[in-house]
Amino acid sequence: MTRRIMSGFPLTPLSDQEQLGQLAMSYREITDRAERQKIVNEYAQTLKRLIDSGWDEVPPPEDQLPDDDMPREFFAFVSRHAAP
Amino acid sequence: MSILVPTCQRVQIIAFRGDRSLRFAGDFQKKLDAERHGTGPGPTSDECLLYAGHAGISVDGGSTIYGFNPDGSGAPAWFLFNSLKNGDRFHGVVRDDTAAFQAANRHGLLFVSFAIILPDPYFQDFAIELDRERWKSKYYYGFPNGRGDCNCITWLERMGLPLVSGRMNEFVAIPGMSHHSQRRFGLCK
Repeated sequence: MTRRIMSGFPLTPLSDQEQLGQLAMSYREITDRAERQKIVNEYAQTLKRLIDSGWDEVPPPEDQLPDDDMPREFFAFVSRHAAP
Repeated sequence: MSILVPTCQRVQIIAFRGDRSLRFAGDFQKKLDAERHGTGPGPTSDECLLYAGHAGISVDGGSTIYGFNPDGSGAPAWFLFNSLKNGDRFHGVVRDDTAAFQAANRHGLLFVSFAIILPDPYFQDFAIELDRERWKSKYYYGFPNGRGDCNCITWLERMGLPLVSGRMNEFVAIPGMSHHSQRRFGLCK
């Protein structure tokens, strides 16, 4: 049976912030390094878009990747705002 | 014929979103780095919850708030966060997190709170289960789609607490419902 699945009600596109969460969930779902690397690359692009757009937050921990796979740009972005 | 209607009992759900402002996150990350590289103390357990956000329950009107946490057994915070982000799981532990919620309040974080009203017999079953969980949780803590059973939010569901009212418009309007078309709770393959 073919079903029509709603993509949000009301219809909303997946925001870049939500996309980070989705990618982090997908990352944890798999263990294959090559597959994970694809997610890491997409995560980095999504995060860069957010930072470039003037985002003034960080993703919640469950929407982040482990340190070794978190984009370097994230740490630079965050450390700029730490107290000296 | 009279019907004996049981007394209503109240379970309060209390949650706060973590402080993910750049200033707080910057300071928090600095502490994680210091802890990891042995150059200074890591964040306190309250600071970890202020950053991550937390959800808990109270059965005494908010005086005591219990929450589900990963039992790191002394593991440093950076290791705990990093492992959870990787999908690892830790034994869950139910703690009296009242102090963390008070700290979040002092910190100015916004709270979400609502009551779930249960007939007394259901409430008594819930209270027994809560006591069991406080003594020793049967669940593993993990981030969504990791190898754990639940986190502090989905533990509430494991405890049998209904989190939606039953209104269809509310149910289908939950953004993650359509965006995250698959979610796994527990280790399986």
